[in-house]
Amino acid sequence: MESPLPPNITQLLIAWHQGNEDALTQLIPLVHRELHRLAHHYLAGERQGHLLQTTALVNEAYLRLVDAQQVEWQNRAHFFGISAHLMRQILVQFARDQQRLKRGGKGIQVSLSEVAGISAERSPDLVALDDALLRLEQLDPRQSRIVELRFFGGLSLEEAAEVLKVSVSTVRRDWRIAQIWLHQQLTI
Amino acid sequence: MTPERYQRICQLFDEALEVAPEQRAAWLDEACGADSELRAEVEKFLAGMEPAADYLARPAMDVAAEMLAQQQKHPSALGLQISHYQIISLLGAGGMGRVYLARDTRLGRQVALKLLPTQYTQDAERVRRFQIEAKAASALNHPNILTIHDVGEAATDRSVTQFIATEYVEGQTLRELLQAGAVAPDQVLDIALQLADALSAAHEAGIVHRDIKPENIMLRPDGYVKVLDFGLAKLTETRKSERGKRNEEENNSSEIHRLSFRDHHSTMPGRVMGTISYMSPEQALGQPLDARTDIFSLGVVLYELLTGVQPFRGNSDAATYNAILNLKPPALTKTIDTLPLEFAAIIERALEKEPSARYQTAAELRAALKQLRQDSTSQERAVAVRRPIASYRRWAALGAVVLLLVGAGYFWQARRAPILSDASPAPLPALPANVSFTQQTEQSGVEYFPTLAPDGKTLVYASRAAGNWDLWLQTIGQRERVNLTTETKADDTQPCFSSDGKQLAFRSEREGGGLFVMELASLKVRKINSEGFNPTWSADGAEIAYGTASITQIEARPNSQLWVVRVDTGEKRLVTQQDAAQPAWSPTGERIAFYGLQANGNLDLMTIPARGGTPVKITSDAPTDWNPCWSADSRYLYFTSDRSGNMSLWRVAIDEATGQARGAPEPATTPTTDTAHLSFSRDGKHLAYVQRNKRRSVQALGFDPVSGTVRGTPVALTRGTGSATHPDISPDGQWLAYSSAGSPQPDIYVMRLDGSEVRQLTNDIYKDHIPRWSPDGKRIAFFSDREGKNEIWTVAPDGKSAPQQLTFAGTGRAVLEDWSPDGNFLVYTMLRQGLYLLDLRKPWEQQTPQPLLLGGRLDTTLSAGRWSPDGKKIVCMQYGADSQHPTTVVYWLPTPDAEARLETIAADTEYAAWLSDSQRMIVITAGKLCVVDIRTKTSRPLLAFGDNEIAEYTSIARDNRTIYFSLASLEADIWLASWTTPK
Repeated sequence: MESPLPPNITQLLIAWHQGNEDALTQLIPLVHRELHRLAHHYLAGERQGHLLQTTALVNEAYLRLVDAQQVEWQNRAHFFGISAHLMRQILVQFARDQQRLKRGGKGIQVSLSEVAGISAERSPDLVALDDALLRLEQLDPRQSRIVELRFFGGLSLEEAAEVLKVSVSTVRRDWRIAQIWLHQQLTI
Repeated sequence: MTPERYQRICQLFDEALEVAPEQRAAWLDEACGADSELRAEVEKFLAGMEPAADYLARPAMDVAAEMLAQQQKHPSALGLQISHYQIISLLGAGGMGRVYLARDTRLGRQVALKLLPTQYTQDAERVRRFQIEAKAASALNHPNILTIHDVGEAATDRSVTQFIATEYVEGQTLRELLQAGAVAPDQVLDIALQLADALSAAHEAGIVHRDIKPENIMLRPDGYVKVLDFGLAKLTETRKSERGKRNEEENNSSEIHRLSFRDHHSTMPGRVMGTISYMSPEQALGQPLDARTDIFSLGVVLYELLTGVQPFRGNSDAATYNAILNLKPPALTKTIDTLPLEFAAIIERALEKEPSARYQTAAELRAALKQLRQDSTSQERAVAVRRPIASYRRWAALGAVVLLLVGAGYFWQARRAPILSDASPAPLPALPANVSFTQQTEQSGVEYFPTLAPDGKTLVYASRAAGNWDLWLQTIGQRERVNLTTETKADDTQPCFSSDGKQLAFRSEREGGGLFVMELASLKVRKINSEGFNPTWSADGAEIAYGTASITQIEARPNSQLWVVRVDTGEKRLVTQQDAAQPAWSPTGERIAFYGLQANGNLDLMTIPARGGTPVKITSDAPTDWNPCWSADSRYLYFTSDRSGNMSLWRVAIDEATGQARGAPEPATTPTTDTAHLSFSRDGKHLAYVQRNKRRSVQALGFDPVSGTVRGTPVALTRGTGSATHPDISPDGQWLAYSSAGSPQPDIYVMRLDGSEVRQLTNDIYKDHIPRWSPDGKRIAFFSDREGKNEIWTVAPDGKSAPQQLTFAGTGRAVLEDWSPDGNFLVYTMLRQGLYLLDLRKPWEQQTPQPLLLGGRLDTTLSAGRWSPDGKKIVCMQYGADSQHPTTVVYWLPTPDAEARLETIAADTEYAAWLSDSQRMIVITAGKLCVVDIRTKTSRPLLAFGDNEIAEYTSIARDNRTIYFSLASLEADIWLASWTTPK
């Protein structure tokens, strides 16, 4: 028997926003499935000894999850906002779970972990970033929101501008400052 | 911070960006007014712009996916049994894999079991290296070094897993300790002593940690300190470099800002971004590393323990680098009032930028810390606050035992990442920027021994352009030159201008050889002395100092005595008893500098009062220092040294009155890599020097043993910019062993004759020379300074094991070895002591090297060549007073009927290799490859080499049908460095 078609994520998002809690529980595995798909590409790339251009793959994953084409025009900005916020929740929770998995009992600290781990090198720690974003929200809610849209939601500068109804140059400015502030919060 | 304040900062930041960078400071002064805090915040944002650029360029989805990929690479092993280890719980995880608490089911003890991530295990070479590293570290049996119990691999249901079982340590890392803030000086001293002890043991064993940091040091509840991850750091660094590359590829466009600084250092991909705070300056610059890098890193850790903050910090990697390279950390005594001055001084010395200004060994640092501890405990005793002294003395005693064990036995040697040895050093500018470099000679071939006239306008040097060595005179900036010594076919070299510029002293082989003086006005030459090399004038021109060994390059040479001869009477006096070569008389006439061989085998610079007296050491370390040359004001001694990898120009400030160095050597940047033969003009504005360029390859030449003639022409077996020399053909004739003479350190290689496979058998900071196959083809002997001085080692030609040490020559240097044809003995040369035999059938602890005597005495002039195939004799080179012209002699081993005897075969002949009849040898003499018959002592030329070619080191296949030799083509030109202000 053929398996039923996977639920349409965009439909689920809309349903969730309209108050359907079941939609979220159905949505999480879909995000996870995309993560696994990407992780698989990483591992395959390493195994084959060459490195994949992952940017395209990540964009594709976002597109599969949140395809604004399916949303009526006037809801588009609204829809982007919701999906970014939701992605943040799902991804941060995912990172939190992963970290819990990684940290066993308290024992010897594995030296070298900080230096060799990928996250330490240049990728932000999603959990710490989430905390920092909450603090940024106190100082400048728009900057915090722009980070949510761009970083978690995968939106372009133009799309973020559309959501927030500000100019692209304002988004660019806020994005730059927010990155500096967050970088300083998280690395120094 | 309030939102209003934050908005204000953001606004000023935006506006500041509109202002041209060079005007920002002034603009900020105005915009921020008296609010210096506001200004600091805006500046922080401005400074943070580059490091934060594209910090969030990769979407969260990507970050999470990569995290998952990492997780999948290290699948959980809980409950598994790996080899005989039962995994109990996860202790931690990191880039090097996961660490589990496990039970050793055989011994019943708890261990920490590190499982390596699968991406390492798929790379056979890396696994092999990893195992070698781990085994090197496992040789370090020291109470303050985490004990490695076991290294191996075990099959699990899914794959083969590499593991390391180590001692399980309960406690906290120093990083965790630091989370509670600064640590009391007493406790820091306690930790410091243990760390110095651990490092000292490791360094003695030839292992440099290279990643000392608080995360790598554990403190047990009972006060014991354990250093982790000896030998592991390198593996990670290699991984990091690949990781870095990948990031660059993934974020090609967006990474430009962040990578700009990295790109600047792209020659050192082994760098670890996360831990630069503990790097030594030489590590940050990608320069070759030795044990002193650990001493610096230890200094950083101790500083941080005392103050709670790192000594070198910055808002960005670039700023941290700058701090490491250029800034002095805030004085410890200012931060902590109670800190003993001596303690602060010890840490400050460990943190010296220049390695030679630090403690040179961890043992030295340990001694200083011990002294401090004794002082402080005696003070405490005085005030009756006796507190239990940490049991470091016991550890020190244990450490000493370990040293003995390590020093005596076979053990694994750490390898050094090739990355760092390949990195080109970036010397700090020491000379003023307004210096120009011009090439003065461009002829093919070599021009040596430049001497500048006092006015810096005329140059005299030695060249073989007219067939033999002549002295040539050339005006600076012009290409015409005049041969000053056409009247004789004898060689004339090593000229030196007198301080008035009217005379030249030089070495000549005319009239039986010796030192001569030429009046430049008349070109009249007269003999001053019947011996001597490298002459140098006294300031008043009345005397000439010289050495008794000729110095052209650094090579095996006889002992050199330093003499001074009066130019008018020829009366002479010995200045010092010790080895002293290549003298340089200071312009003020007070002192003579020279370089000499020390008892420990180092070639160091020294000065001595010209009237005689006690020599004073200027340098005292492993790098080769030679070519001393005084600056015009006698305040600096310039010299050449390989301390940065290449033989380049250095200088050290000298107090001429005492002859002591006034600081550490500093690099004097020249665009050169192999520099020699320095000469300053009297006005100090010009420095002439020789820049050498030597390329070597191994050549193969067909030979017909019956007719004794060559077949065909030589074919190069090694190519490229590599520098292969010392060929030795394997007994089966399939493989060629050779050593690289290339920078920075020679290593041992084997290659298949058809070139299909090349293996590097040694890959480290040590100098490995002269490989020799054992007759069964299973080992390759070579000599190496990996123990701090030259000893004989062996290594397996498959490259699967680390070198083993064969000789333990005490204070002597063991070099130039060969196997007996039955493989039972090894002959080797104790430098300037004579020949010795090792009986390889005995285990190492029963070895007593047997001297090869002649008439009951050791002949100190002999260097061992090859053992004859019939086993009866060893061909040797015999060095007389003149090191450049060795004689080939045969040492006949004693038999029941006859004593050992020496038979002279051919003068001025080197590099003999036996044909299988044990009667004929291939030798190199006077630019020709010859075959010599020892019965008739006749030699027949086989092949002649060009003027600029030097053939060296022969080897013959067992079937006598191929001769191998190394061919060097040498260029040496004279350059001039000119300053616009006197130096």
